[in-house]
Formats: sequence, structure tokens, C-alpha cells
Amino acid sequence: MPIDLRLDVVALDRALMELSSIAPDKAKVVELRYFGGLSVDEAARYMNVSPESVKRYWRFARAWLLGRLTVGEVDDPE
Amino acid sequence: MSLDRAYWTEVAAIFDAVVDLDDAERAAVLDDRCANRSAMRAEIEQLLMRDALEGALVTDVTRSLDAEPRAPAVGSTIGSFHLMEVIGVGGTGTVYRAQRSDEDFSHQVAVKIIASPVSQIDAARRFRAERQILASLRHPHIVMLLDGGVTDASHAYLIMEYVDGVPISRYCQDHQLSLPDRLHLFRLVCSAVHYAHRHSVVHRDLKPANILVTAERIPKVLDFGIAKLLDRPLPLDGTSTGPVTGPLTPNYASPEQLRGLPVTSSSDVYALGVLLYELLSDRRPYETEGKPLDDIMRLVVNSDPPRPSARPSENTLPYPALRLKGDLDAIILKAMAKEPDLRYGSAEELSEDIKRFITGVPVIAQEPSFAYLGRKLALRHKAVFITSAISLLLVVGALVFALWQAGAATAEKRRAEVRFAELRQLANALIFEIHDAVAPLPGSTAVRRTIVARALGYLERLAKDADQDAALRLELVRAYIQIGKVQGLPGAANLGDREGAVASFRTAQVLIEPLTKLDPPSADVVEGFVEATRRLSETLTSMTGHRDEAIREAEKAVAIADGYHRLFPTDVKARNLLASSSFTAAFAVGYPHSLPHWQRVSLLYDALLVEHPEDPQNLRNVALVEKYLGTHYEASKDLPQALMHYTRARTIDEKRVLQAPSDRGAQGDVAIDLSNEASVRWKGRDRRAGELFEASLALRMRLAADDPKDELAAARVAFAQGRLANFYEDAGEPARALEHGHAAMAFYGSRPLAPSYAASVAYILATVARVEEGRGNHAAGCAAYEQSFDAFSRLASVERESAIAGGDPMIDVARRAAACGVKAARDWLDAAKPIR
Repeated sequence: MPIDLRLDVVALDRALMELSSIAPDKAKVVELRYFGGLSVDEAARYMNVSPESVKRYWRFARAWLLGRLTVGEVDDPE
Repeated sequence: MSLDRAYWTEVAAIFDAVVDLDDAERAAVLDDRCANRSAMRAEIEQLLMRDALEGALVTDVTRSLDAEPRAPAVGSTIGSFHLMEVIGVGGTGTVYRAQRSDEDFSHQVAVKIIASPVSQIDAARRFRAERQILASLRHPHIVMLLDGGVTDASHAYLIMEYVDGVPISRYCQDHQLSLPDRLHLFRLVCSAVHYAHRHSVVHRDLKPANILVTAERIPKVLDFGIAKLLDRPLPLDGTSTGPVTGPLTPNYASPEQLRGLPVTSSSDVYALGVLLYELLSDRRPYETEGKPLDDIMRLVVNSDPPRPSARPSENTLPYPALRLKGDLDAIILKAMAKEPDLRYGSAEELSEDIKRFITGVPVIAQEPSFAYLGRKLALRHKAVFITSAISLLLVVGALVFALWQAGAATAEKRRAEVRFAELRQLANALIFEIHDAVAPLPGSTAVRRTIVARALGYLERLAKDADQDAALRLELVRAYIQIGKVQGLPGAANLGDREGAVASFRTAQVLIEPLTKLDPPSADVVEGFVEATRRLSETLTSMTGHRDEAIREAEKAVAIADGYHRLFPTDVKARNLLASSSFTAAFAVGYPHSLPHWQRVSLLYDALLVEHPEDPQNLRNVALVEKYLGTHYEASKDLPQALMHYTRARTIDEKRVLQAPSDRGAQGDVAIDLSNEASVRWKGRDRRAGELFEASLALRMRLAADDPKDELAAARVAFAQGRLANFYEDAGEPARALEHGHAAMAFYGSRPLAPSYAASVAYILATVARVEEGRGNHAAGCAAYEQSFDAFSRLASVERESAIAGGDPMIDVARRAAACGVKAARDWLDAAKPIR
């Protein structure tokens, strides 16, 4: 898995907390897939939704988190 | 950004609807659904843009890096340059020598193609901004960036000045450069790095491979800010079970980089330190080859490298390594300090200090009190990192484990298993490291509280999912127990958050209790219940006014353990659980009614010992029970019985030490046994008590000396000194009493007064006071009485639960202090309630 959990854990943590308060389902998917390394099907089973839903949630959450995580980085000229 | 859930639900819905449409359709839908809501539309467009980014921070788990399209090959054209040959392959990409045309040999450049594809959408924009900054870096020792862009095939490339040189470390070795020459070369590199820092560019990946030296001995630093340009953090490839590969070079990565914290110019200074280390000693500070990531992290973040001058010979240097001793050692190690604030403030400062060394002037780099300070500060940072990491790890660990148990497919199951094991390990290591290492640090209480609060938050959320899932529950129970342990740790300023610990243990107990009703109960469940309940009971016992509750809880544990034991009477684990819960019950009942309990516990543990006489755990348990039995008899003044038990305890503990000479716990136990035995003998006025007390002290001093950072060990030495002071006072040797009393006070005086010490301080000072009075040193006696009273009153006010506060000894001291004219003592006496 290319992502290393230890990287910028604090920022991710904060972002996740935010996401879970505004869109809890999406945050759940992130937790399951990002941390748990679960596949779409497994996550779907756990959450009791369709795999399509999981994919949708995942895509949204990813886009959202990217926005959070790339803002406010040190040395970021943006 | 709105925090309104409804808002985001709608945003997500629209996003889902348009994400796969083409531009025209998308615009139409957005026009329709976001009419008059331009802010929302902008938000959605932002999301869409990020959705399009490939190779971004949060990747699709199933994609493998092998799936990426290949980079351009030799012979192809990038911009207006032909790629002639490959001159290097690194973690970030491949470097080619290129020239304008087949004949134009004079205008050579180096073209670096970044390995992973970058999306067109953001890349062009970002690249332009960054490239402008990098291109503006003009310095004789920085490889100039000429141009850059993105190919049609979505590969980012950079065109740089071509440098024909070798890595600096190799250059120094090949040419056997003298020490001054190496230092000079290094200083040139520092000037380049400093120049870049002044232009707000951090290199992030300084290492010999990125510093080439030409035949004219001119160093050129490459790849400035390249990592930044890729718009991602440097990925650390590989799981923790494999060696680390990938662009981040572990040896040069600073502690903060390894931990994913923001990278600053200070990280470059660190890398310079490592570089200097390597250049001057021909060796690397850490052996990271082929090591898994966990080990590397531990090495770099926690351990100190050997001094550059101290590496064993097998010397490839043209000068003796000893020349590095002293100033150069110090300079290098300062640059490599774990804590960024302790390093040089800039590459220039580093260079200046080297200049000082060369010219023979004293250098700024002090010999740090290296091990202690470095570790202490590294830990402090670590604790902040732990706050989040632990909570996340607990969440993940639990989830992954539970799902694995729920029967996921084999491949995922294995992966989850590995992941789970890693995470459990890391989580446990982190928690235990807090337990052992953070506890004595000042300021750690606040840190711990934060860690605990965060972890509890996560656990609570997780608990809602645990209703159906037994395995998840067990994980939660374990987690709550861990948290409770952390909460219960005494801190410098207080005796720990015992109410919090009680709450956590109770939660653990409540969570697991229903599972104990299952038929048959599982070993894990029984164990979990017993552990949670025991800790609950023990914490309650240590809080005054909760004795009855402590006993009730302990009896619950005994009941469950007993039930389980009846089902499996020969099972060793079952017997141990019964014994340990009976232990807790005896502990809770306390003197004087605990004797039958202790005897029962003793029977159980003795039986286990008989079956496995060499098992260190069995030995320890039996010895422990003997101690408590001895204490009981000592309290009931049956000295011969007490002595018998203490002696037995000592025999067993000495055996433990023989079996495992490095077991500090066992040695500490022997010290306790000696002290116990001495105490009893002295009650019988046996003067041998003196040697035993002295032997105990000597052992404690040895233990403390073996590990100077062990606060608890040092405290026990002080306590033993106090004990001896008492003994000598009693035995009529005032000079010795004073000697030991002062030795004890030397320890306590050097620390902020904590309630855990206040009691000892109060007693020791009272002893010292009495002895001084006895010798006619009235002034010294009064001073000691006053301080003793002060310590007693602080104890009484801070630690209301302490049984001794306000008791007889305090009254006695108060009277003396009042007689000496201490007003506070007089006031206190006047206001004190009469003692029964």
C-alpha cells in the first residue's frame, strides 16, 4: 500500500474529524478503506450499503480531503 | 465552508451526478442544479478538479505503481532536446544527458523525467510557479534549472545544467582528501543551501548523490525542491515488514521528516549534519540498509548515533578519526540534533562554526547532555504525534481485526492480518512507551490527558459499532484498559487522573461483562474481565473512601475467575486468573482482615510454582505474596512469622536475580526484601538491621546508577536514605542519621515538590529536626521543623486522601514548629480537630 499511515497523521486526523461531522458516511468509507485497507466490497458489507455507494462516497471523500490536506502546508505558495 | 450536513449531502449528490459527465453535459447540469448558488458551484468544481488528479495524496488502494505508463526512452525528444543516454536513475525519476541536436555537443543539458505521471490539470499551473522560483536560484554551487514542463504522455520533466561529476562522498574517498579540504568542500555546499533557504527554497532531500563534484573540485547541488515540485509528500515505499526503498533516503531524513511533520530549512541542516558525518568519517551515522521502516524510525528518532570520532578503525581516511574528537564531533552532533531548535539556526551558522574550528577559535556547539536531552525532547514531540496516531491506530486495529474475523477473502484477510499486527504492535509500543518513558517527564501530564481524551473520543465512536461484534468488543476492552493505565500514572504534579482511570476500567468492565455470561465463556473474555476489574479494584483501593467498592469489585473478579476455574480446574491460565483476582481481593480487604485471603492466594501460587519451579513469573508471584504476608504479620506484631515470610521472599527473589541478572525488577525486589527484613529485625532490636538497611541502599544505588534516567529508581534511593536516617536516629547514631537525612533531602530538594514525595520529605525533615535538636543545634532543628510542617501541610491540602495527612506525626511536628515560633503551625494547631 503506497500510503504510509504515519505521514501527516495530525492533519489527516483533523480533516477526518471535520468530514465525519459534515458527511459521516463518507468519512466512514475513508476510515475503512484508507486505514483498514478494505476493498470496496468489504467496506460495503461492513456499512450495509451497495458497492456502488461505497465507490461514490470514496470518490467524494477523496476529493474533499485532498482539498483539506493540501491547504496550509508549509512552504506552499498557493 | 458550511458545516451544515444537509448542505454537504446535496453537494455530494450533485458531485456524484456530474463527475462522470463530459464538460458540456456537466456544465448544463451544474447550471440547472446550482442556479443562484455560485459558491456551491465553485465548491463542486473544486472537488471535480481534485477528483481528476492522479497520483494524489489519497490513492486508490487497488492501484499498483506498476500500472503506470512508461517514461520516454533514449532517442526521443523533450522540448527541443534529444535524449542521448541515461546518466542516472533515482527514486524520483530518470536523468538523461541531452543535447540540442545530434551534432551540438557543446550545449549539453540534463533532463530529468519524473517517474509517475502527473495530471495535466494542476501540474502545468503548479509547475510554472515553482519553476520560476527554482529557476531564479543562481549560485555557483547550485545546478541551474533551465526549464521544465509536462510531456504529452503526462510526464513532468525538468531541464537542468549538465554536471559531469561524482557524488561528494565518493569524491572525498577517491581523492583521499585531507580534513581541511573536506571541510572546505562542505562549506561550499553550506553556502549553496543557505542561499536557497534565503530564497525560501528547501531542498528536502540532501544527500551525497545529490551533490556532485566536478573534476575541478567544484561541488554542485542538484534537485533543489524537487520533492516539493511533485506536489506530494515523499512516499515511503513498502510496508513495515520490508526494507525501505523510494526517494526518501532514510539515512538523511530528519526525525520530523520520517514522522511526516512539516519540513523546514532545519531539516536541511540536519541532512547537512549527516553529510558532514559521512564526509569526515567515511561512515554513515545509522545502519539503515535493508531495515524495515519501523526500525529506521526508531533509530533515527530515538537513538543517538555513535560519535564520528569513535567509529572503529578499518580506516579509509587519510587522517586519524581521533582528529574529529571534541569540536568536530560536537558540531556534527549539533547539526544532527533530534530537536530542530537545538540544531544550527541555518546552514550559514553551521558553516561559521566550522570556520571557527579551522581557525582554532572555540566553537559554539556545546557538548550536549546528549542522551537525556535528546531523548526527552524527542519524546515530547513524539507525544503530540502519538495523540492522533494512537487514536487512529486503535480505530484501525479494531476494525481490521473485526473484519478479518468476519471472514474476508484470503488475500485481504492476510493483508488485514499483517496490517493489524503492525498496528497493534505500534499502538502497544506507543502506549507502553508513554507508560514507561513519558511518565517521569515534566509536563507529561497535560500530554497524557490529551492523548487519553482523543483516544477515548475515538473509542466511544467505535463502541457504537461494537454492539454486534464480540471481537471488536474485546479490542475495545483492551483499549480502555490501556487508557486507564495511562490515566492512572502518577505525574509530577499529581497522583494521576484516578477518577478517569476508574471510569475507563469501568467502561471496559461494562463492555465485557455481557460476554462473560456466554456459555461457555472464552478464555479471552474471562481474562479481559478479570484484568479490567482488578485494575478497577486496585485503583479504588488507592483512593481513600472507596474501600468497600474496591472489595466488591475484586469479589466480582474472583467470582468470574472461580466459575471459569471450576470448568477448567487444571488449566494454568484459569488458575492464574483465580490467583490474581484473589490477590486483588486480599489487597482491597487490607489489614487486618486480609490474612485468610493472603493465605488462599499463597496456596494457589505455591501450587503453580511447584509445577513450574523455574518460571520467573511464578517465582515473582510467590515472592510478592510472601511480602504481603510478611507485612501482615509485621503489622500484627508477630515478628518471627513476619521474618519467616520476608526471608522466604528474599530467597526467591535472589533466585530470580541469579536466573536473570539483568532483571532490574527482580533486583529491586531484593532491595525491598532486605529493607523489610531489616525493618522487622529492628523492631526486635536486632542490630543486624543496620547492615541489611545498608545493603538495601547499596543495591538501590547501583540500580539508579545503571540507569540515570530512571526517576523512580532515584526516588527509591532517596527513600532508602530516609529509612536509614530513621534507623540511625533510633539506634543512637545521630551523625549517620544526619548524613543519610541530608542525602535524601539532596534528592528531594532538586525536584519540584510532588505529592508523591511530600510525605517522605515531611518525615525525613522531622527526623533531621529531632536529631539536630538532640545534638543541641536548636537553629537547625527549628529550620527543619518549619520545613517539615510546611511539607505536611502541603500534603494535607493537595492530597486529601492521604491517610497520614493530619495524623499524629503532623501534630507532633506542628507543636515543635509552633514552639519554634512558626505562626502557621500555631494557627493550624488552634484550628485542628482533635484526633481520636
